[in-house]
Formats: sequence, structure tokens, C-alpha cells
Amino acid sequence: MPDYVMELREVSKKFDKSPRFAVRDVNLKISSGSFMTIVGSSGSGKTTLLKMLNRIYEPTSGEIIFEGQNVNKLRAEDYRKRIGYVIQQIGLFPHMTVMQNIAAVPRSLKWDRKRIDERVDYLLEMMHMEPGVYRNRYPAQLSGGQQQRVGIARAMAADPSVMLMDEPFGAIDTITRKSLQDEIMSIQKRLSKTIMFVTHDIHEAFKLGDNVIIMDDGVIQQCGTPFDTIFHPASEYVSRLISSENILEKLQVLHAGAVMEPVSEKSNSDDAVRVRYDEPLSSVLGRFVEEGVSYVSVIDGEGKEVGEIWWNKFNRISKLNREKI
Amino acid sequence: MLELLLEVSRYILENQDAYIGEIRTHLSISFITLFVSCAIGIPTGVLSAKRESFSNVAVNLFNSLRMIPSLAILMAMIPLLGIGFRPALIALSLHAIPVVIINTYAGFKSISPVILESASGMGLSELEILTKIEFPLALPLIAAGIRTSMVDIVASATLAAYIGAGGLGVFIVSGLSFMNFTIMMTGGLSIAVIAVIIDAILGVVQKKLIWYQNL
Repeated sequence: MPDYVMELREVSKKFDKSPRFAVRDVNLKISSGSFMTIVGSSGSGKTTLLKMLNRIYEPTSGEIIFEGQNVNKLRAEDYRKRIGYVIQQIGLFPHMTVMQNIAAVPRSLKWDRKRIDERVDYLLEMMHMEPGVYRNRYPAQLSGGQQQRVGIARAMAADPSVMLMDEPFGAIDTITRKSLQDEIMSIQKRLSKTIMFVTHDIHEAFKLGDNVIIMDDGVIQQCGTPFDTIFHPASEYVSRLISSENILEKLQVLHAGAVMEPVSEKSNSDDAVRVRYDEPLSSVLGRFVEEGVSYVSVIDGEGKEVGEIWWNKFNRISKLNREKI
Repeated sequence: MLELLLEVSRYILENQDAYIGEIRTHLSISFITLFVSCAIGIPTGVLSAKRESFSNVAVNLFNSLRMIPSLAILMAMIPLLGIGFRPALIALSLHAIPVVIINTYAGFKSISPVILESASGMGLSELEILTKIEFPLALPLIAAGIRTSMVDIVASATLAAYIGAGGLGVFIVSGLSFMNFTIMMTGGLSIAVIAVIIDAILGVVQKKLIWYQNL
């Protein structure tokens, strides 16, 4: 039985001023340690859904269960301290230093000073910001990318099990965005955080998510792995969304980890061709062609072998792709 | 002009005790008025910013009271409260409160909703948000309101002399009745100088409050 950190049952939301539902009848089980991306156009309800998860919006009907408890039974303040929240506009407190920003929730939880200091330094180092340099800076003295690093560190300050991220990299330049994406992926894997990540960028959704939720018109159109979503679209809307991409582009948004067969222990020989789990399938395909091998082994960030991909996977992928067109 | 200044300083030296006494009265009327105005105006401003319905009532009420000239309010206070310090305090406060309310309101409204969303989204309590986020961020505008109304109060406190509350206005009132220009100017110039000094001091304080906007 999988361990669900959060569960949504028949959750709907209708705003007073709007005639239609922003989110309709959402059922969702979120496994602990999963990285879920929610993608959709503006007005699809993706942000509304996310904001119900930390009770910024209260559902009109339905219930949200967090670690076995109905969230309505918890005090909103206490509940939110257990959920990290990162938004596109970052929202750092301009009159507080980086340190004070990150320490906001720990201070509210009355941690002692030493523990807070250590936590702040740990988080800054994790986000690749030298604590000695940045601890006492103010947000206005940081670049946009650095501000969002602090925003992420702040959200993780009290070590929440779930992180909600609302287009966190939407306003950040392409190069910085890419490195932040890579970092959040590796942090998520390393600390096994559960992340719910809203984006309107399909590439970002497929790159980051173990599971991708596609929303349109307040309804979840499909929730599945990037591979399933691309090759087995569940609705007209999803296939239209996907079909705008050609096969190579599809291979670009899928990463090796999404299609590999997991291996529990080291089984392949040392001279096997290695690819990283986050390498796009298009470049994995390139490796096959270059090396002329029948399989590659997939390694994680630390170089440990975690899975393998066989050449015939690509035959099946191209077959699936032809069927859809 | 120089002659006038000399005459004024001679008058001040000759009436040192009375002069210092009236300065003290003037300043205490001003500061107590400021204190009362802040004590009423800041909470009202905060409430107005938080509750739109309340803001319509409060801002309109105090704004219409502000339309009535201070002198008229002072006179109207006499039948209610008699003469002296208390009616002066009330009349001056009614004049100063709207400025404090409006600036407090503006200060709170100037805070980006994004900052408030992230504060409440991370689980800070309403009280923590008010004291640690909203108030410090609204402070520069609140201080601007305090500065404006303080200068206003110092100048208007002159009128307190008309209802027997004392202050530097005493010199203007008696200068007028004796048709003595020197005495009148003693009051007028002193008030102007005090107002300018207080404005300068508060200006420095205000600058210090917006340091983080100039990083």
C-alpha cells in the first residue's frame, strides 16, 4: 500500500464572483516523495488547485487529507508551517536580511538561535549561496535567480514534507532557470521531498515531474508519468497539447529516468555506456546511435547505477508515436 | 529686518521666564496632541486598510471634521469643555488625526499583496504579519504622516492661546491687542523656527526608515 502524504477527494472550488467552477471534482492521491507537476494554460485552475492545498483558498466542496488528517481540523497557521510555499513573484520581505527571511518560520516556531543559524547556513549552502557572503544581504541586493534561491530556502526552513511551488521559475532568465530546475530536481531526490509544482511550460512539466497533471477548464485531464502522458494521451485536449511537438521534441522533454527499467543491484558490466537519469531521451538516442550498443545503463547524480534502457524501447516509442498521428 | 530681529531677541531676553514657559507649553500641547492623534489615527488607519467598509466611514468622517477650521472647533469646544488645555487638545487632534489615518492607510495599502501572500502562505499568524511585516513596511508612510501632522500641529497650536491654553500663540494674541509688532513677531518667528526644526528632525528619522528602499 503506497504511502499518500496528501489526498484530495472530490475537491471543487467556485469563486463568488464567477459563474463557473475554477476547479471541479478533483480526486488526487499524492505519494510521499513524488514530484508532481501541474500544467495547464492560464484559467485552467492549476494555481487555484495548488492554493487549496495550503488553504489560501478553501474548497467549496470536497476534502483535503494531509498525513491522514482532514486539513480543516488543523489550524491554518500550524498546517501551513508544515508545507513549504514558493511563488513566482518570490515575495521576500524587503526589510529583512536573507537570514531573517529564511528564519521567519523557525522563529515563529520558537526554535533556539543556534539551531536557526545552523539551519540557515545549511540551506544557503544547499542553494549554492556562500552563507558568509549572503546571510546579511537584503533581497534588493540579490539578482532574481538568487532571490528565488532564498525563496526556496525560506520555504524549506522548517523542513516541510511537502513543497508547493507556483511557477517559481517563471520570471527567471533561461540559463538560471535551467540550473534552478536541475537543482530542485536533485534536492527533491536527495531529501525525498514531495513537490507539487505548477507551471504553464510543458517542457518544464515533463522535465521535472515524475507525474504530470494536465489541467484544463478546472478538470484534471490526465495524471500520469511523462511517458504515459505523451504516448497514451487520455483526452482530446491532452493529445492536442502533445501533438504540437514532433517526436524529437517529445524525446527532448522525456528524461532517461522516466523510461528506464529500474535495476535493484549492479548488474551491467563496467564498460556499459552510462547516461544520467535526467538526460533527455533525445541525447540518449544519440548515444545509442554513436556507440552502437543495445542498452545503456542509467546512473543517478552520485554515479550510482539505478536502471537501464534497451534499444527496443525506442522502437516501441516510435510505434506509439505513429499510432497517435 | 535685522532691526526687527534685534528687537525680538531683546524682548525674549527681557521676558526670558515667560518665553521659556510658553515654549514649554507650546511643545507639550503639540506633543500630547501628536500622541493622541497617533493613538487614535494609527489603529483607525490599520483597521481602515483591513476592512474596506470601515475605511469609508472613518476616512469620510475625519475628513469632514477636518474641513471645519481649527479656530471654529476651538470656539465650539468652549461651551462643551470650557477653556484651557483640554478643548485645545481635542480641536488640534481632530485636525491632525485624518492625516495620520490616511497615511497609515496608504502605508498598509502600499505593501505588495505578494509579500502578504507569502507571509500567510508560510504560516505566520495575523499578529506576526501585522507586527513583523506590515507595520515595518508601512512605517515610512506612517512617519511621513506623523511629520506632516506634527508641523501642522505646531503651527495650529498657536490658536490654543485664544482659549486660554497658553503656548507661543500668547505672544501673538497679546501683540495683536497691544498693536505691538515686536511681541507678535516673537510668537510668529518662534513658532516658525520650531516647526522648521521639528520638520528637519522628523525628516532625518523618515530617511532612516526607508533605508531598505535605497539599497
